[in-house]
Amino acid sequence: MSESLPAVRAEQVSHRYAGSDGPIEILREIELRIESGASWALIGISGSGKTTLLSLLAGLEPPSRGRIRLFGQALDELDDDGRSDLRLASIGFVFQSFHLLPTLTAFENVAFPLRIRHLPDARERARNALFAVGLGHRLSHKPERLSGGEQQRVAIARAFAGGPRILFADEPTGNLDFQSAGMVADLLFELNRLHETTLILATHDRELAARCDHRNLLKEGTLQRNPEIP
Amino acid sequence: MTPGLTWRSVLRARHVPFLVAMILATAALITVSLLDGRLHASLTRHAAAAFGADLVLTRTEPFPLRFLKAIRTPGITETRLVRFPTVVGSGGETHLTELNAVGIHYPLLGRVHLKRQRGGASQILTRGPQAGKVWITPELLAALGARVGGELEVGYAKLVISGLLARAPAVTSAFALFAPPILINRQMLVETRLVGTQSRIEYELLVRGSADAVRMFSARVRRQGRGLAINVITPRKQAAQIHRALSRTEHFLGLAITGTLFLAFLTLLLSARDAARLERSEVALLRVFGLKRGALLRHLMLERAIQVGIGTVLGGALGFGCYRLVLNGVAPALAGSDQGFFLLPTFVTTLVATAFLSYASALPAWFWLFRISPAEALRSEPPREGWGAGQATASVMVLIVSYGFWYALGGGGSLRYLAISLSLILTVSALAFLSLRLLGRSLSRMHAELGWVLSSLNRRPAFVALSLASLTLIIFVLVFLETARTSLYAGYGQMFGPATPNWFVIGIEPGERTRLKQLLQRHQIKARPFAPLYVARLIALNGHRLRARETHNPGRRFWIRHDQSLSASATLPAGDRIVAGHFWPDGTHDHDASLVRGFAHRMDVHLGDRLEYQVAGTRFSTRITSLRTVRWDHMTPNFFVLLSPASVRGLPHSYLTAVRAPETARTFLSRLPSRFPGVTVIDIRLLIRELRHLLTRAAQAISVLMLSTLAAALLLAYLVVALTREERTREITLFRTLGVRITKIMVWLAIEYGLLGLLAGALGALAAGVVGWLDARTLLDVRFQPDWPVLLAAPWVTAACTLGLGFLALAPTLSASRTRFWQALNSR
Repeated sequence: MSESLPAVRAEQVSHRYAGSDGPIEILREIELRIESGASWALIGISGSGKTTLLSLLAGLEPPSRGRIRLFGQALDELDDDGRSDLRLASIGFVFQSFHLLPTLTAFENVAFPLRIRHLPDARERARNALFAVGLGHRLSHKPERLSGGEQQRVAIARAFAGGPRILFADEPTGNLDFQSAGMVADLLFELNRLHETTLILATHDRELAARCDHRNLLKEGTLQRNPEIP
Repeated sequence: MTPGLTWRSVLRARHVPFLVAMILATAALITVSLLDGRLHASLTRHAAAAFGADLVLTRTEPFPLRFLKAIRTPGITETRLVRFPTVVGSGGETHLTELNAVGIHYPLLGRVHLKRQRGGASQILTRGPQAGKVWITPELLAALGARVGGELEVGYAKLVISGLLARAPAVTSAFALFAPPILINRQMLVETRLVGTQSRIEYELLVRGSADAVRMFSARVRRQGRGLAINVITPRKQAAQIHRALSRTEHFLGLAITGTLFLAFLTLLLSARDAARLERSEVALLRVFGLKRGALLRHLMLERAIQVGIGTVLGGALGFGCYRLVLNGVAPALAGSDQGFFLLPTFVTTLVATAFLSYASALPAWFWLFRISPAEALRSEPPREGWGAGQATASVMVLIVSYGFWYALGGGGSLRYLAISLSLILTVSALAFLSLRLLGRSLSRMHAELGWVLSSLNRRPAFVALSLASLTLIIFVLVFLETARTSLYAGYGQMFGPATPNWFVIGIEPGERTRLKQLLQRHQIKARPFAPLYVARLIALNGHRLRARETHNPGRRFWIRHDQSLSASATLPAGDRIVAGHFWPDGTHDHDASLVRGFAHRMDVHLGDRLEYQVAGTRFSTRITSLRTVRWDHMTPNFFVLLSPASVRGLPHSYLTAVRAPETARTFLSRLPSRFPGVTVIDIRLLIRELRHLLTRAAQAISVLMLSTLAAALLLAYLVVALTREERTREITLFRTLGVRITKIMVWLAIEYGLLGLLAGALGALAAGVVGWLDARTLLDVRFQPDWPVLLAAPWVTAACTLGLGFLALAPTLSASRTRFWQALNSR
């Protein structure tokens, strides 16, 4: 897999859902190319299909039509296990609602994907990742004992600990206060720069989008590149 | 909250599982209770038919007319019977008999089996003999050398022998017979001129009616019969064999009801909790909007009341439908002619009790909802699943109160099993914790995947405790019922085994004993040991002379007035068990007596008391040195009073024995009295046939009850594994998003559910084995027959079922997680 290949490539991607009045086409003929190490923002109103596009790009579900390649690998050529392996090794996720495992401590949450990969240095990596996001003192705390901002930092540590090549973030600051949102955003871009991870984020936050190398507006199922951000 | 909003809330999809659970639980309880009622009624009716009445009053003097008028009860039919021993004659031969003079309406229950000639087919009649006629037994006919159509002298009356008795309700009780019965019409009693000269007349009033009418009648007898020395006898009291069979079956039914009740309660509890969990966000939001706790409570109460109403009506209808289906399809033997609404009280009380149970089982969930903080609405992550100590305590309290209510309404079951089950839940929870912690620690180092699953289980202690306790209880109930059923069947097998005696031979003179023994051997008839029989009268207790008129204890008074059959033995008879005191050593020269515990209780005598008897004019004294229990259902001679041989040495006696004879030996046995004039032969094959029929019905119903319990158990098992469905849905979707293969997740789930099932199955089977063993010894009084294949298979079957149900509960999640991860993850 050559480094010159784009991190993400979408070719003529369309997607539709079955609605009560017939199929609803949510994405139409999407063409995009995201270079490795870039930061890429997807903006749009609620219900415009941002999360669906992220889902397709991450290989979580197949598009109705078209093809998606990650680092040149066509996702439709991989079976379910192949796509799972790809996600485990190369993709990190940060969600709006954090989605930490409530029964695990902060440390165990970060270590979990690493242990699944049978990485010998899983513990060390998890520990370092938590220290990197400023939560070295919260290793043994369970999510219910952490604030929203802290939970999202644990989620970021979990996403970065495995050294992903692409990070998908869906409204990463949507549930956070102004101060925590700023902290989380700084962290994302810092890690993106440090690890040269491709950052793909969907957001309503135009300020956050403005910090990305590329911005795309999803409107009526189609992408508009570098729109004007007021 | 308005009633309209509450009504709309009731109909929402989230309440469907609770409604379904309630309908199924109600249906299961209604089916089991109605079957229990039907079985009980059927067995009692059958026993009453063999007994000849639903109730019998006996007195040694005629019943006063004023008393008879005062106890008249609507719905009760009665007939009178006069019974006394007398010598009858024919053609110069005489014989001691028991004369039974029956009135109109005889037989009240059951049928008379009569032969018109020896060896002929039986006719089935619903009346007694006409005036001037007498029915006698074939043995008496042979002993007298008489013939059917000939005359029999009964006192001053000469009656025509018009039939040979094979069976006559209330008359031919095989175990009370030492003088063959004869049956005459009561009108002929005056002509015999025997009444008045006889001192041992027993006047009987036989009664038939519905259970309610009999209850009312008994109450009137109790009120009006004070001081009249009336003995009240029920079918149970009379026939020890039937009593044992009924008691065992009822104990089993009690177990089945308690088990089903427990499973139903847990099912309702879990489904109510599930429904409450789904209501959580809404309730929190309503609290944010300013809904007061009082208004919330009213809303919840009304909502549950409507649900319970709907569930009870639908469940009742379904339960009644299942009951009818079972009755007509699976166990038609239980359906009698009285299929109307005599079970209506059972139906109504079960319905009321189930409604209470359903309502009460929702209380812990209410308690939880009631305490929800408005801040809950603002939480981005749903809280962890699990039950706090408060809810667990509330659940146990509600269970105890519900059970008390159920029990008070006469819903059946057993407090003993409530205590056992509760102790079991606590013990199993503790054992489960310890086992999992130990396993988790040791296995996590050895196997990464297994270690992960175990540590995952350890992180959900409340879920593990609840699911393990529930699953263990399910297995305990099912395996225990199966074990008890096996032991019960084995007990029945012992009763009707190939060696069970089917004839009694009584009145064997000491000089005839050896010759008879040899003769029986020659005809390949297996005889039990010959037991000596002393006909004795109790005359004094602890040195005080006993007089009937001065004795208030009815049991003691009866035996002061009647001859008693005593026996002597150097060794404890097979099957007997000493429960107090010590049995005399072989070769003792002491004058000791061993009494059957129940008999001693009725006589109000105790260890150490001295009993003085008189046998053929000779007095002897004996001391009670032991109390014992006997196996009445083994069809062998048993005696209330057993004496050490030294007590009765030299006293006149005869012998009796029980024999197992092949069908071909029937003629030989029938003719035995002609070779041994003093001997009477009693055919008990009919009694055995009736008992077998009775127990076959019970066995059928028991199998059906097992099916009902199994259905409730499966529903509960599903609810248990579905308990953390929401949490697992989020977890599985997250795992899939992070890149965990679906096969790996399925392996984790399989290990987790398999382990839970295996552990629960092993603990449940162990508990069932231990309790079953105790129960077989103490309650069912049968030899414990462990059903080893069931006991050994239980853990594996439970593991497989838990696994299957777990995957079934999570099937939508596993299926959705293959496609739309993110959407599933974001939906709360």
